[in-house]
Amino acid sequence: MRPSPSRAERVEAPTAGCSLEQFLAAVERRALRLAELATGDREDGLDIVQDAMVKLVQRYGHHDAQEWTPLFYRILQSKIRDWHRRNLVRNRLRVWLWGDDEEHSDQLAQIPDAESSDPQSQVQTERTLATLEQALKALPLRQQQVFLLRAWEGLDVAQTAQAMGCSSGSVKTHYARALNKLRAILGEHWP
Amino acid sequence: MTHSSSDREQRFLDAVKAELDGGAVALDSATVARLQRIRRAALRSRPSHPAWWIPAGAFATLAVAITVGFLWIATPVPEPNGVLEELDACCPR
Repeated sequence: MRPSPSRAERVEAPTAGCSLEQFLAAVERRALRLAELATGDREDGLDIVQDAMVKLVQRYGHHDAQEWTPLFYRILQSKIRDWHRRNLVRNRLRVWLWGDDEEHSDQLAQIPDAESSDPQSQVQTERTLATLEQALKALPLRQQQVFLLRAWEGLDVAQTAQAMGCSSGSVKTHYARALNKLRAILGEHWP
Repeated sequence: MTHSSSDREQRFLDAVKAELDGGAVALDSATVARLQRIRRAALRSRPSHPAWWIPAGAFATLAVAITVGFLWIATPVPEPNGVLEELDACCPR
């Protein structure tokens, strides 16, 4: 299991009273990872993060700092949905070329076992993260993003519902399903 | 949910969070530099004038103009003070 990052390394969540620049610096890495997991591409993720930052600064920069987190992630989720709509045809073609759900299930089965290698090596650490990323990418988009916002970013149910543009009940349902699927894929005792 | 199962779930979530945190910290330097450029470009796009005081200033200007206009209209026009009597005294008919 990867040791938790040291306090100096950890990307701290923004706190009330911070400047807009401090807020963006605090969220940019996690936002990129969210967008990258949603799109499967780092360049697309960077474009989405850029668009989200610009919109937050231009339209909501004068808002209270405590509002920036749910606002930013709402904008980010909107940009992610826009990306998926634009790529709908391309994604459908990709599924048609690369196979149906059965092959997708086979891909889940091919996720490497994180316990098979030397637990003290850097390769093991990287493999563990890769395993987790593959499991997250295997989730439906809304379940993936709800899980990341709740479990990683630490948004509460109401904030997550605001970011996702859905009801609190939907957030709870998506989160529970995502958690169950991840535990089924990764195992109860992962990593 | 039993105490042990909730503990297992929390340990699982803690492990997931630690892995994701580690992945965010371990981004390559080129990506980190791009994120910095993106952040700075976004901050430069900030409007120079806060939007709120534009309509507030317009409202204040309009209020002052209405007040001045009202006072100007309401101010009574003073009657000429003895001008006609003086003219009669100078030039009696």
